[in-house]
Amino acid sequence: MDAYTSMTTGRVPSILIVDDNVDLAEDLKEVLEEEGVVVHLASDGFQALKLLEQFELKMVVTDMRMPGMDGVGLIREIRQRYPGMPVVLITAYSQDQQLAEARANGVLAVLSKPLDLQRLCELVERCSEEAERA
Amino acid sequence: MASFFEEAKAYIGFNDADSEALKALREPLQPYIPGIVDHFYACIVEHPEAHAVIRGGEAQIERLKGTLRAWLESGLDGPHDVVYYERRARIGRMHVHIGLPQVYMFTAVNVMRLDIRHQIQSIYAGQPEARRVAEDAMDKLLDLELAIMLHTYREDSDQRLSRQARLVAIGQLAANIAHELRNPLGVIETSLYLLRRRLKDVPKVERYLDKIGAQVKTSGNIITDLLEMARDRSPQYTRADVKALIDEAQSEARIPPSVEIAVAVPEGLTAWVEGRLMIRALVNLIDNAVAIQVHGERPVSDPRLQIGAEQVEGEVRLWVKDNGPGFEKETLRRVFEPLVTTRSNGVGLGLALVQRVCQRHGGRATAENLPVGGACVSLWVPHEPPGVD
Repeated sequence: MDAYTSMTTGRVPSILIVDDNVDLAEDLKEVLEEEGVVVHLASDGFQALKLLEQFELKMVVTDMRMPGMDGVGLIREIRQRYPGMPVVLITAYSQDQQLAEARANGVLAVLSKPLDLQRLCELVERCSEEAERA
Repeated sequence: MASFFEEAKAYIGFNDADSEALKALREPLQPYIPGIVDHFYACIVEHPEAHAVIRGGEAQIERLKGTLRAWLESGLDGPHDVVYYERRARIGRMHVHIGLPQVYMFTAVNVMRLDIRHQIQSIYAGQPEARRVAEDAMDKLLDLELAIMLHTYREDSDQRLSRQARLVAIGQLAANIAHELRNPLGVIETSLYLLRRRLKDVPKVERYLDKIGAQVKTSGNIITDLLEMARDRSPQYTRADVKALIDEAQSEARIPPSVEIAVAVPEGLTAWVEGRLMIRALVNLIDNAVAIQVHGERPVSDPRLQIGAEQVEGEVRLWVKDNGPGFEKETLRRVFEPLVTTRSNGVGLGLALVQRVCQRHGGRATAENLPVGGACVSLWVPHEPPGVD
């Protein structure tokens, strides 16, 4: 679905990207916005939770390592507050233990940096479609 | 170091009087020395494991006998000073170098000790005091020799431990740096993605974007290798089709069209491995073989790759052969050590990773120069789960 169709149908999918690396977050925002997605940015878990309260978001893409509340902490919170929320974890760190915990908390996918943007776009699209059907 | 020698002498109680007694023993013992030395090596030859350390056959044993005679004679002559210690320590290090198990030093020295004692008894027959003095001096000398030899083993193991600790520290540091580099690389990658879209129709730009993209990919691979080296989990085994692993590795590796490729794998051959890890190892071998032939200091006119696999008893051997200059003799022994590189622009990680991957599978990697020229690196991994073969 492109931006135009989304807007005309009134169902612009909004997602949240959480990463303390502003350069990366802004690039991702730009890439996804070209796919017709509205993107909000947060730089740590606490800020992310605030935005989740404010906006009706369909999906969270979060980095693992961040100051304040990290990705694993954020996922734990999201599971309690928004049980069905699809979460994609992006990480430069492949420590098995952390990934195992994230997986146990039901993340949709774990993508490692440098990111496969094609795959990220596909995941976002899939979630948007599912959200639309729901 | 000399302080160790003085300390050992003091512990053993070796003094100038002992040096004098040994000097006095030299002449009467001299006729018996060849017999003592012969018996010493006869005992070693009788023992298969001790014998195995001597790889040069009869000729080497004759040479070693000469060395042992000189060793014994200079031990009797003295002076037992720092220079003496340094010479003895060098001999000790030679034992370490050839991998002589320490237990044989003790048993062999004891053979010599008993023989010499018997001779002393006959030399000083009827002179109990002279005999006692000579026996004591000889015992102390041989104990001193053992102490020196043991000390060289200790030095060696200390060095090995500190080398290992250094490597572990470097490894951890490298893994941390690798993690950190993934973030900036991620930004480069996404920015490149956007740039490609913006500059789609701008002439002469794509070539540079491609170059940046390829280099980012290479950097990403180096990081993956580093992290894989630092990892310690056991492989996630599956029964993998070896031909499929090789096909995948071939498609992931960067093989220029000028390289002639021949693949030989028996139909249906499988290995009990983690496929991803094996592909990574194979890609490394292929990239290495290509680099040495195409981008090396001495590029070859007909670069070739032979990739193959076979079952050898309970193992599967996968190999990559090239047509390059082969490994240098000095490098060949250390080619799988981290930070040892065969290329002027190499990092020294590729083959270390290959070895690490094999070891994690309970296997090993081996390297050789081929008689027809070129090098061959083989990966030995399990054919079946333990207990099935």
